[in-house]
This record gives sequence, structure tokens and C-alpha cells, in this order.
Amino acid sequence: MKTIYNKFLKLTSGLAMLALAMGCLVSCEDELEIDPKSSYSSETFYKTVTHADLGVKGIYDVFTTKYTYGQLLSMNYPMDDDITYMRGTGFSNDNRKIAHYGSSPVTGFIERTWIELYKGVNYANLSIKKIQEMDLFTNGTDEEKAALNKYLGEAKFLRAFIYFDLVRLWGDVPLLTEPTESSSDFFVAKSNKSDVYDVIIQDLRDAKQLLPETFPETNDRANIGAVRGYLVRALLYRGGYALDQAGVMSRPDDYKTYYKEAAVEAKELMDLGMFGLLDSYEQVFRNLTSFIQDPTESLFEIATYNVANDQEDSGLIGTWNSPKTHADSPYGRANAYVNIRPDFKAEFAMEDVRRDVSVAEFEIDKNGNQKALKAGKPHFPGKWRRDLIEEPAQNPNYTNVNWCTLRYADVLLMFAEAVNEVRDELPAGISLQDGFDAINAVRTRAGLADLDNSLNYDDFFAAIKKERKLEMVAEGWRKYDLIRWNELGTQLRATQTVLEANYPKTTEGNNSVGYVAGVYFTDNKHELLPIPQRETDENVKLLQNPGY
Amino acid sequence: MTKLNFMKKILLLTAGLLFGIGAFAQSLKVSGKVSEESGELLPGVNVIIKGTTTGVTTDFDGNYMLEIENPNNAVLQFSFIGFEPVEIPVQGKAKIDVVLKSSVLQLEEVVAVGYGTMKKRDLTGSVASVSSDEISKVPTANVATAIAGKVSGVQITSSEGSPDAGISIRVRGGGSITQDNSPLYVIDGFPSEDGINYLDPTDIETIDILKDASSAAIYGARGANGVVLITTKGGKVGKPRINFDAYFGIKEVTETLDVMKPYDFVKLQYENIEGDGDLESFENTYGTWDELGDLYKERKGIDWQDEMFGGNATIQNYKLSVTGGSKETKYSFSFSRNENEGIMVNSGFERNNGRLKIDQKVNDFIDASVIASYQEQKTYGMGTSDQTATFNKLTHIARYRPTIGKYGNDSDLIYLDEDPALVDDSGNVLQNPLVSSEAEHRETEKKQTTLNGSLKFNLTNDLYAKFDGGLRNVVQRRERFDGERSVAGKRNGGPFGSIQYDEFRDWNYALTLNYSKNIGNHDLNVLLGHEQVATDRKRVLTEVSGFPNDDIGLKDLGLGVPNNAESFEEETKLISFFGRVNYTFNNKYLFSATMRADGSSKFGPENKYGYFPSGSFGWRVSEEGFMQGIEQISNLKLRASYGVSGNNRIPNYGYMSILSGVTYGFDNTTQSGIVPENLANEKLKWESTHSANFGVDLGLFNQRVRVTGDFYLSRTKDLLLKTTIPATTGFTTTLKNIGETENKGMEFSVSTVNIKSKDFEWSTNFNISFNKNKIVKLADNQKFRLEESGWFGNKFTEKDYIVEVGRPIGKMYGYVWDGLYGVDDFNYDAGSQTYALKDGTAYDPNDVAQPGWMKYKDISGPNGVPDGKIDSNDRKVIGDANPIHFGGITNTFRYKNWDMSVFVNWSYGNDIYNANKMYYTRGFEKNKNVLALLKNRWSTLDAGGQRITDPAALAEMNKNAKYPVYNGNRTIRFHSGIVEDGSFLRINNITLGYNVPKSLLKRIKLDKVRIYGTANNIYTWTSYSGFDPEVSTRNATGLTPGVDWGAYPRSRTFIFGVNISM
Repeated sequence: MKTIYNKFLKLTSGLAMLALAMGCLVSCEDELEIDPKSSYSSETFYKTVTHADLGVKGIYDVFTTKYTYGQLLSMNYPMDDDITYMRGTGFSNDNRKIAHYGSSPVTGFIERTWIELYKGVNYANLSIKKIQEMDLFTNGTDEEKAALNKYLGEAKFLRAFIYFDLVRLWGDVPLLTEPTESSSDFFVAKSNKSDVYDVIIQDLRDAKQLLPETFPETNDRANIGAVRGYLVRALLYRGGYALDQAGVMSRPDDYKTYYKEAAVEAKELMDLGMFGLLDSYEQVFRNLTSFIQDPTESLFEIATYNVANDQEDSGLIGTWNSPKTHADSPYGRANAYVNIRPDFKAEFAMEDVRRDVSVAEFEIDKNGNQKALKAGKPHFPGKWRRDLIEEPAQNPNYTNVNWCTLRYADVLLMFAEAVNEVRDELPAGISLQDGFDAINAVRTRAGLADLDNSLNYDDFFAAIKKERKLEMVAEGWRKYDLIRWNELGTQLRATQTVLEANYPKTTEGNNSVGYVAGVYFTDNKHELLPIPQRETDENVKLLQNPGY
Repeated sequence: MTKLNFMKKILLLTAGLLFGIGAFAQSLKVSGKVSEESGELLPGVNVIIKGTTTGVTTDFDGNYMLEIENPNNAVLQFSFIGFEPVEIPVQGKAKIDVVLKSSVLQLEEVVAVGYGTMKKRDLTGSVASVSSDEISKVPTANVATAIAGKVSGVQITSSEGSPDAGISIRVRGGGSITQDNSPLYVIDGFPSEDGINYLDPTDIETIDILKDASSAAIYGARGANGVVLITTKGGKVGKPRINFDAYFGIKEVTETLDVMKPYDFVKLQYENIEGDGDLESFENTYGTWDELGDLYKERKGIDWQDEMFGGNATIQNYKLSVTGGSKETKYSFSFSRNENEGIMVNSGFERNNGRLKIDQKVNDFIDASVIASYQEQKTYGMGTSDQTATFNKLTHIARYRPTIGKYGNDSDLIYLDEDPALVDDSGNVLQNPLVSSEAEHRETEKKQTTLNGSLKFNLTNDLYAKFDGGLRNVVQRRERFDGERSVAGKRNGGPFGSIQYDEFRDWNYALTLNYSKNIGNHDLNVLLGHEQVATDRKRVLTEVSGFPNDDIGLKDLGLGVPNNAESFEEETKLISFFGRVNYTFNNKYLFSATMRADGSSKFGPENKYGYFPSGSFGWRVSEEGFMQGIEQISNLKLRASYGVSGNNRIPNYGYMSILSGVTYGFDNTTQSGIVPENLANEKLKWESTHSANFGVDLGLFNQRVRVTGDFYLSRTKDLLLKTTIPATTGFTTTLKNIGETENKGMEFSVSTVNIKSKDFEWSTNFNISFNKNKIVKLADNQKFRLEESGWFGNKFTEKDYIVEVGRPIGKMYGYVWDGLYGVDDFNYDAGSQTYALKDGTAYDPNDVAQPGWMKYKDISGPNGVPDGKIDSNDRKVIGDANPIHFGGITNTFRYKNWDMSVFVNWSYGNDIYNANKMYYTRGFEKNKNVLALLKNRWSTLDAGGQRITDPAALAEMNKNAKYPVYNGNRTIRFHSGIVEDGSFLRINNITLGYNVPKSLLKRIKLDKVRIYGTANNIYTWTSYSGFDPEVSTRNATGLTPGVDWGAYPRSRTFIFGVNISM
């Protein structure tokens, strides 16, 4: 009996094991196909309109890091110019190295900015390609098609926006317009900056067609005002001076073509009638510190709202570029790294309403009271004052204050500049007086009298330059204006000379207000940033910028 | 010796089966005791009446009793594995006690070879073994440290000295250069990639390491980096035995960094003054130059290393086990607790371990076995090396100010959360490390449950089938909380923290059929098998900020504002079929072949399956007729093998493009977007290691001297590497099959029994390994690629390692330090008192060098010839992290009841990248301490504190200066002055034990009591200037070994312990 039982057991167990093994042979193949559970894969994404929306929204993610508009692109790379400069004369950290023209290819912050911006380029390239490949893009309902066209336009705007930053910071850069795949060539050489601008301009022209021509619901996503405004700006830069790879500041021979197009585009934008100046100059900035998003004048903003106020997705606006505010004050800390030369305020006319909004001549003590600065100490930007930010300070460093990259006032001034440049060959429908009207609109709001409309080219240009300087203090464009006018080195050295003459020298030979940009700036080098060492190490085709 | 114990059990069992038959009538009952020379009683000894099959085995206490029909003529044979057999004529005696002499013959050792075992003499591959004796001799909480230095060809390094330091195990240099080069661990048949961390070393019976590809090929896709087979202890036949082990120890730090004392520190601060404002604040803080001598010369100041590492930490370990068994059932149960304080304040490690193993014979043809284990461990404390650059905690400890200045007492610094001199500097994150260690709560708790079972069906005498199944569940809870007083809490406007909860579930099953047949001179063994392994990972992470205070903290996340919540799940699967054939002819010629096919979910449709064959041959020369006359040679075997094994340790989904969520603050709300996370590589394929091994095993003088030598050459193709790519692609890294590496090497181990007498024994184990690694090919026809260790976060981004065809991995790449710029290198303009570099002197175009600055060699320009500029073209190989050889020697002594072992290990010829030295010599950072070596810097101040510019005076004052002026290294470059020789010779361990004599123990009913003392890490000879030369803190990619950045200092431990069994 026992042996039979044993034999039975042996047989069944042997068979059972065989069956298990055979069972797998049949079905194993499928079991090895395991799809990701917690993320989309390339096969499952870009199927619906919502996917396209999510994909395009993802592109914005690169804007709010510390290395982009959270700090460096908004406040750091634009310094030092002839108005603002970084506190502290040394090179003890990357912030100072960058501002004081002491950066080198291994300056880490620069590498991070490069990485973030190219991430954005790839995100945008992917959206642009995938949206057009979607079935709904060609076969969807009208509503679906309209939505997808809008998102496509938005992605194109963002790609242009990012390339514009790349080209103004680094000049000639690798130009990629397709999303990267494993089969792509990873080693791309630089493209000429004019070619990069041409892609930017084309993308913006496409976006202009694709986006609906309606007053935007919000100014932190691409809208018709932002697209058209950036088109004007890109055309102006396309025609302006920039450092080329031979180490020469040059502009294209046909630069006037671009000014002409800029004038036309600006005029079209102005003629839409949707956008305009707010009545109060100060209100433009109080909107920012009160988290009001009014697209009327503020055409495009980087949105830094973040529930936790931590570094990711947030910004240092209002703590870096604000009067020094004591850490224990009711408003939280502002460490005031952006300084304004103390003799600048005097450039405003007494009646100019922009003066006290733009320049703060005080600190804020721990009781929250304004405390006058000692004579001869540097001033601070007043537009994003910590004490006017309408929320309790959650964090000593990070705030939810958006960064406005394009204002209607800027468009008016760009228009005036473009008109003046082509005053001898004005495009149809545009007169020189239109240019004067534009700048006068800005002046009127500031409380100033109209310009004399008989000014010649040079005088009008000088007036425009001055107006831009006063209108947009510390808004991040002064240095780049000076570069495209080929005046950066000259202005920095002039500033150095004036400050050294008027402010006592320290034992180290610096002026007491700590301005050093005129000493360290090298012409035909520092107009551009160095290409990060990481990139030239990785890609032998990528050559370093002149002088580095 | 544990091998012997293991064999004892097996023999006891089989002998019992074979001979445990009844007795015969009309005869003499003979009884007695069998013991070994030490007096230890031997259970399981075979006692056979010569010429018959009649016999018994001794019981647990070494007793036997046998009825003998023919008591006058009979001869008793006593035999037991590991002992020389004895024959004793009965001659009518009723009591015969026997003492067996141990034979040194070890050929009968059995080693695990993957899905089975083999006799060591039949091995054709390269397998190294470590027994429980060797492991348990050195009390340590970690298995890997217990076997470090004991096995040739296996290099074990702990990354730093903290209780939870990562431990890297490299078998033969690691063929792969992917991020994970560690071997596969198979614990009681259950494969895992990290399981070794959870084991209590004293639970281990044997460790067998499959080193060559032919041995490892049976594990196919996961064998390329070697396989570590671990068998845990089980029960033994005999009366229940209770063991209690306990030890207690203290630790002290072995080395500290030499940092500046207050007087040197304030002088450096004075020199660092740049401008009137600075002078004013210096004088307010530290006093005027003339006051400095009086104020600081006698001041001891605070050495933060003393504060943080100065105390004595304790270790305690307790273990209780019960083992026993009958022929049918064997069991073992153990519980242990380990408490291990870190030498840094507020840090440590705790572990509880429970384990149950039961072997049950169900009936004649079914054997069952079950192992259940549970471990929980907790690690706490902020650690030193987990963050880069300014947030790194060792930075805080080394660089926090030694003196508070003119006003107040230096010890005030200990009570202040933040340095008053730095509080206004927003870039500063330096914090009182004592406060950080209290305010930064870091705790990881892991709980692991493992259940393994096997059923063995003895289908016929030659054939059995086995089913092995296992389930492992690990839950891990990681808490981080930065309290009110922490620097991060302050910067973020209040306490914040996170809880991360992970669940890992692994299961596997393996079916094997095993057929063994012996026909005359032919021995055949065939194994066929099928295995499936699946893993399942789940994670939840919640980050909360804005806690009102520290009181409740993470115990109620609801008190704060949630700012991030993440969850994540993934699964993997591996399905395999394998087979092995072993054939032995005439006991002399050994052949073995294996084949495995693996299918993995990690690869795309084109490359789902990988195939891994191997073959090997062995020749037992000593069995040949022509060797028989040579008495001295007791064993000689030659081995040759070739095999292919694979590696699939890469992240999941690498072959497809993954898109995941990000957020952006549109319209003052948080909204989601989707972005691509990785660059898909649909062509990802298996990495495979092809390796040839030649070995020789030689035994002399009846195995008193045993030598094993192995020579190997292996090539790893299609390396799977997370490689960096130009960021213009939108990605910084991608996973790629990138080329080919080669490892070749030799390893030798020699064991000798030097002296063996009744009272005194001395034996020696020696092993040495040489490995040469070489990159044969890189992808995209690249000649080289640069890698970064990344220790300095984003502030120092120049790549510092080179991976180059024809050279090994681990080459450090940087500038050649060429001393300092002297005044002769400059033209001096006396009018403006300024120095300008002379034409023709190499300079950094992004800096304005001054006398006393760091100078580097101008090696090359963009065109390959020196161009007078110091830039990235001037880098070259300046160090190599690979040792030329490494190894260990263990000497074991026994004198009567005393035993002693001395273990020494070394590494020779490797370089260390002393990143600490690079960062802690930045004299230009105000109010932060630096290494004391900067005392010998170029100075610009004379004795009166006056700035000197005159060339002659400056040159005279600095003629012996070795290090740059305070701001002369502000452009950070990795240079040859940072690379140091990491060779070392370490007296790693000395243990002295005493066995209390049995005569004493009998009275208190104990079997065995051993009292011992152990000292670990006793002394190290090295020229390395950091904490310890055994360090590698930035090697996550496997390409940047040998960096010392913020490593936790190593400690010396003194342990006292006792083993009791009853």
C-alpha cells in the first residue's frame, strides 16, 4: 500500500513540476512586457487634447529654477550694468563671478542655466513634433483642431523665447529643432546667431498665426501680446550689435530691414487696441507684489507661485532686488544683492513719478520701519519691495512674485527706436510722428513733457536710450540694450570713472560703493558668457566663445 | 573547521540511516567516548566493525555503544571526516575511548555552486569559500566587513566610517562599469541584490563566492560581477543546545584633520581683509592686529572634531540561539540584537534579527525545509557625506570657526545656533554642527521579512526534483526633519520634513531536476532548471513644510503645509531556463558545461533574451600513476574554464521614453505639466562578460600546505552605462551600451598549518590579488570621455576623471601643480605697487594672478602645444584609484585553551583624490576655518601686520612658502597636489580568546564558555593625510572611485565578549 502511495506521489509531483515549467514556456513572453505604471511612456502620451496641454505646460517648468528666471536670468546675468551691480566686490561665489565679469567655463551656475534652457528646447521640440503628429490634429473636430493649433503656437513661442535667451547670453549656439532621440546626432556644432534669430523670428511668426487674437485670460501663458511683443524684440536684437565668433562686435549689413519689420510688427500690436499702459506707473509693480495678473501692460510673466515657497518653482524676486530688509521684520528678509549706484537717482527729473518707485533710498529695520541710508551708500531697486509684497513671509528667500519679461511700455519704446532707425525709409502707414507719440505716451505717464518732434536721428536716439534707462530700471534689459547698441564696455568704464572720482577709495583701491565692473570687463569677450566646460568636454565640435 | 561541522551533521545523518540498526545477541557490549585532541567530544563519528557493514555513530556527546559478536578478533574502525581514521582491536575490552587526530585533508569540503553543491576536489571553476569560524571570530555588525581581506580576488571597501556606510564588494575588479558593480547575493537559494545588508554575520554557515564566469554562468544575466552564495546555519542532530553570545565594545576616532588654532586663524582672517568695511568688522570681532597675540596665542579654541567625534561610542550585541534535531527534524532558532553608536554625536544603528530554520524529512522521498527570518534595523544621525559642497556636514565640522573673537568665550560658539559673524551672509549655510546634529533628524527604518521553502522529491535513487520558492518583503521608512534650529529650517522659514515609505516585494521560484549516475569510471551529474524572479517596488513620499515648531514634527504631518506628494510603482521580471552537466572520468578528468537563457523585462522587444554558456575542464594530476611515488604532493589539480555571464542591473524602462509630471505656478495655483524624463534607447542590450580562467590547486605534505592560484582574462562587451551626453540634447545622461573593458589578473591564496601539536597550533592564511583593468573600446568611436565625481555640487564643474581607451577606469584627470607664482614671474611697478605677469609666463585668462598664487603647468593649448594659457587643455592624468595589489594575512594560534588571531590587510599603489583638502584650504572664505597646513602659506603681511608689496621683501618672507596666498586658489582646479598615495597596511584585527576548561564547566552544567577580546582597526601605516585611506565617497556611477569628500572618520574599536553554550 505504502509503495503505491509513494509511486503516486512521485508521479504527481513530477508532473506538477513539469507542468509549471511548461506553463511558463507558453506564456513567458507576455510576462516580460511590463509597462511603466507611474508615468506615461512615449506610446501612451500625446493622444488627447489634454495631453497636448500637459506637454506644453511642462515646457514652462524650466523657467522657475534658480538658474533661470527664479534668480539668474532675471537678476544676475543682467548685472553689472551702468545702473545696477552686485553687492560685494570679490569673486567669492558664482553670483559675484558672473556679475563682475569674472566667470569662466567652469562657473557652475552658467552650466546649470545652459542645461535648463536646452531641456526647455527639447521639451518644446517634442511638443511641436508630437502635436502635429497627433491624429486629432488632422482628423479632430474643429474645436479640437483649434485647441491643438493654440498649443502648437504656444510651444513655438516658448521655443523662440528660450532660444532668444540662449542667443543673447551665448551668441552662436547649437540649434536643434527636432526632439532628441537615441538615434539623433548628439554632437551638434554652433549655428551662426543670425540663423538662430531667424528660427526665433519664424517661430514667433508661426505662433502669431496659430494663437487666437483675443485678449488673454492670463499673462503667464503664451498670448498674442507676448508673441507679437517678443517678435518686435527679436527683430531689434537681430539688427543690433552682438559679439561674433571672430571676437568682433558686429551687426548685419542689412540691419535696417529688421528695424523696419520691427516697426511694422510693433505697430500691428499697438493697433490691436487690446493692450496699453496702465494709468499709474507704480500700479504695474504693485500688481506684481499683490499677485494680480493684468495682461493689459504686463504682456508676459514668469509665474513663480509655489505653495511651499521652496527653491524649485519659485523665485528670489523681492528678496534679492529689494531694499535691505531685516530678517526679523514683519515682511521677512531681503538681502538686497542688487545695488543701484547712489548717484543714479539724480538722473530722474524731480517730477518723474518713476523715480521713487524705481529707486529706494532706505533700508527696512526689524520693526518694519524705513531707515534712511547713510550718504554715499548704494541704493536699492524699489519696484519689488519686500514690505509691499501682499502675503506673510513664509520664507526668508523665496517669494511668489512673478517676473515680468515684457511690458507694453517696452514695446512703445522699441517702436520709437525702430521708427527712428528707419526714419528715411519708413514702411507704409508709419510716420516719424508715430514714433514720437509712442515715447511720449511713456513720458506722459511718468509726468514728463512731450519730446520736441523735430529732434534729429542722434538726439531722438539719445532720448530713447535715456527713456529706456529710466523706464526699465533693474528689469533685466539694460545690459542687453547696451550690448546691442555696442556701448556696454564704454558705459561700464565711464561708470567706474565717475564712481571712483566721487566716492572715496578703500585700502584695496576700490571705490567705497563697491563698483568693479569697469575694472573687470573685457571688450569683445564679456559681452557673451563662456560655453560651459562640461559641454566642450562632451562635444568636441562645440568651440569656446572668444576670449575664454 | 565549520566545514567539518557541516560534514559532521551530514555524516551523522547518513550514518545513522545506514547503521542505526538493531544489535545482535550473545556478544560483548563495547562502549566508549570519541573526542578530538582538544578534548571536545565528537558526535557523528562512524564506528564500524572492520570487514562488516555493522556499525553505529556517536551521539551528541561522543558516546557510542556497539554489540560485537566476536569480541576477541574484532577490530573497530573509527572514522570521521577531517580526522585521520583509527583502527583499534577490541581484544575483549568493554570500554574503548578514542582520541581522533584531525587530518588536514580538506579535499572532501563541499562548496555551493549554484542550485546545488559540489565536492571541492571536483571543482573546475574558481570558487572561494569563507567559513563561519572565520566570520564569527571577528565580531562585527556587517557581513562584508567580516570577510574583507580574507578572499583573494574579492575587494571589499566601505565607503567611509559611518555605521551605515555603503560597502562595495568587487569580484575581480568588477567587469562592468555600470552604476552597480556589486555581485549577486544568493541567500539560501534566494537571489537578491542587497540582502547581505540585513544578515547577522553569526547566522552564516558558509559563504562561497563564484568568481569566474564559468561558475557564475549558471546565474546568467546576473552573474557578471560574481555570485556570493550564502548558506545560513541550520540545526544539528543531537540534544538541544542553547548558545548565548554577547559582546560590548567602545569606539574611538582614529584620525582627525589638523585645522587651524585660533591664533593662526585670526591672522589668516586679518590677511583676508579687503577694504575698509572689512577692517572695521574684523576689528570689531577679533581686535586690532596688535592685540591678536595677547588675545589668541594661548587660546585653545574649539576643535569641532573633538566636539563631534571626541566621545566614546559603544557597541553592544546579544544573540541567543537554540539548535537541535533528530534524524527527521532539525531546527535552529536565533534572535539577536545589535546596538551600534556612531562616533559622531547623535548617530548610530540598531538591528534586531530573528531567524528560524527547519529541515524536515517528510518521508522516504520528500525532504522539506523552511527558513523564516525577520530583521528590523534603524539608522539615525545626519552623517557627513550625503551632500555636496557647502551643505556637506564634514565641511561644517572642519570649517566652523575655532574662536568667537574678542568678546565672549569661545565655548559660547557651542551654544549658539549660528555663527554671529556669518549670520548676515545669505550664501552661508555653515552651522554649528552640534546644533545641526540635534536639529536635523534623519532616520531610516527597514523591516524585512523573508520566507524561503524548498521541497525535494527523491524520485529515484539517481534523480531528484527540487522546488525552491521564496518571498521577501521589505518596508522602509525614511524620515527627514529639519527643525527650527537647523540651518535649512531657518533658510526655509520654519521646520520642514518628509516621510518616504517604500515597499519592496521580491519573489522567486526555481524548479530543478538533478540526475547523478555512477557507472564504473564514469560519474555523471545533470541539472536542469527553470527560475522566475520578480520584483515589485512601491513608494510614497510626502514633503511638508511650515510646521509651527518642532514639538510634534513628523508625527503629525497635518500641522504643516503639504508641498509635495509623490508616489511611484514599478515591476520587473526575469524568466530563466538553465542546465548543467558535470562529467568525471576515472576520478581524474573533470568536465563541466552550463547554459542559461534569461529573459528580462528591462530590455526592448529585440533584446529580451540573453544566452550565457560556459564550459570548463579539470585534471587531477595527483591521481595519475606517475604521481603516486611523490609523497609530498597530496593534491594537484589544473583547471581551465571559459564562460559568458551577463549584467542587467540597470534601471527599468531604459528602452522606452518615459514622461512624468512637473509643476508650475500658472495663475497663482500649482498646475501640472508633463515632460520627458529620459532619453530612450530602444536598442539597449545585455552586457556580457566573456572570461577565461586558468587555475591550479596544490596540496603539499598531506594538505598542510595548500596553494590556489588563478589567472584570468575577461572582457565585458556592450557595457551598460549611464553616460553623460551634451546637454544640448535636453538630457545630461543616457543609458547606453558603450564599449568594452578588459580585466586580467592573478590571485593566490596560501594556507599553511605551521605547527600542530597537542597544545599548540599555528596556521596562516595568506591571499594576494592583482587586477589590471583596461578600457578596450568606447561607443561612438570615442578615444576617451570625461566624467565628473560631482562632489562640489554645481560650483566646481570641471570633470575630474577620464575614461580612456587603453587605460583603466578610475584615472583622475586634472592640472599639474607647479608650485606658486614667485615675484620673479612678475614685472613690478613701484609707482602703483602692482604686479603684472611677465610675458611668457603661463597664466589663467580668467584671472589676474599675483605673487603667491597657485601655478599650474602649461601642458598644451588647443593645438596640442603649450600656448601660455592655463585652461582645460592643460589637464592630464594625475592619479589612478586602482591598487596594484591588495590582500590579507591571517595568523591563527592556539595554545591549550587560548586562541588568538591576527589579521592584517593592505592595498598598494592606489591614489586618493583628497577633495577635503581642496575645499578646506580656501583661505579666502571669511570666518571659516582651514587646514593647518595653510600656516605654511605665502603671506603678504609682515610681522607688524603691514601689507608688503616690495618684491625683495616679499620674496624673502616667502622663500619657504609651500601653499598659496590666502586668495591664491580661488579658481578651483583639481590638481596633482590634491592627489595622494592611498597605499596602506592595516592591523585590522587582533582577537584573543580563552576557552574555560571543561572540567570547570561541568560543575555549572555548561558545554562551552569562551571569553574574548578584540581590537579592530588597530593601526594603519599610510602616508595619506585624510582620515583614512580606505575611502570612496563619490562613486555612484562606478567611474569615479577614490574620492575622499566629507567621509565619516573611521574608528578603532575595542570589544569584549563571551560565547556560552549549554
